[in-house]
Amino acid sequence: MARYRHTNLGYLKEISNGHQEFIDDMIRVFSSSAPRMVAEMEVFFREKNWAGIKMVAHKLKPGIAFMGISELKQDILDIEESAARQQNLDQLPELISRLRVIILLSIEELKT
Amino acid sequence: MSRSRINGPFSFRLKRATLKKDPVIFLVDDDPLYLRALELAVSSQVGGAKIHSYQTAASCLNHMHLKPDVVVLDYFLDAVHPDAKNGIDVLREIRRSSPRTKVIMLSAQDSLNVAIDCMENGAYDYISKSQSSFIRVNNLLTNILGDMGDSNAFFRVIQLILLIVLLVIIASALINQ
Repeated sequence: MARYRHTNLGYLKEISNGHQEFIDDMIRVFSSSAPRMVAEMEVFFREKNWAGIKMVAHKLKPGIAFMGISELKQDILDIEESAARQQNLDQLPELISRLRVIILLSIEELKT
Repeated sequence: MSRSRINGPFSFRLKRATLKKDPVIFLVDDDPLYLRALELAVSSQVGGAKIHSYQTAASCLNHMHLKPDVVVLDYFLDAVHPDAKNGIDVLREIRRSSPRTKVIMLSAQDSLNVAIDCMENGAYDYISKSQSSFIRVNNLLTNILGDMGDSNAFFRVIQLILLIVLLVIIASALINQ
């Protein structure tokens, strides 16, 4: 069984030439900022603030790419697109919930 | 031209001999993760640079007295907090208060309209955030700081020539006395 199920640090290792201090620092920043951004997105959803959801999704994209969370790449685009166009809004609760769970699982995985 | 390699994250082969010495570089992005990556990428590329990172437009503009040579600025600075200044507002203020500062705009949205908006408002260049964006930022920094370094070197040569001419004139005058 592979050590990493949700994350892949290959890109981060590649751009940093395997600089471990940098990788640890990026993981630390992601672990502290991503859950806060998802919580912000959930508040925006309750307030029906679609522009807010779009913008938070937009800001989450680089973090998801850096941490190689490939299973969220399409989800985050769908959230951003849905909120931007205000279409398929009924899919947002499930997408945001999945986003929260996978980000938390990814952070747990990155701690190991 | 002599080239050297800086070891560490984001290391590339680069022209160090002609880069402006001790440049001041501002990095502005409200995404802490991207900002951290940018800091490390730029510090690896430009040895001796004074790098200042800001997460808000206000903190960047409050430090313009440091006279940055280059500002790398996020287009969507008001992404999460719409009452904050956006990147274009900041770009305009920088161009007004410090016309010599070069501004590189960044955006996660690869849009022609965004690019046009940036260039029309005086950006040096526009880069969409992608897997190659750090390399592109560093290439642009090398070009900008290289031009500034070349320009400084050119003025030093002119100063030296003028000094030699002056010394020749003084020496001639003394001989003729």
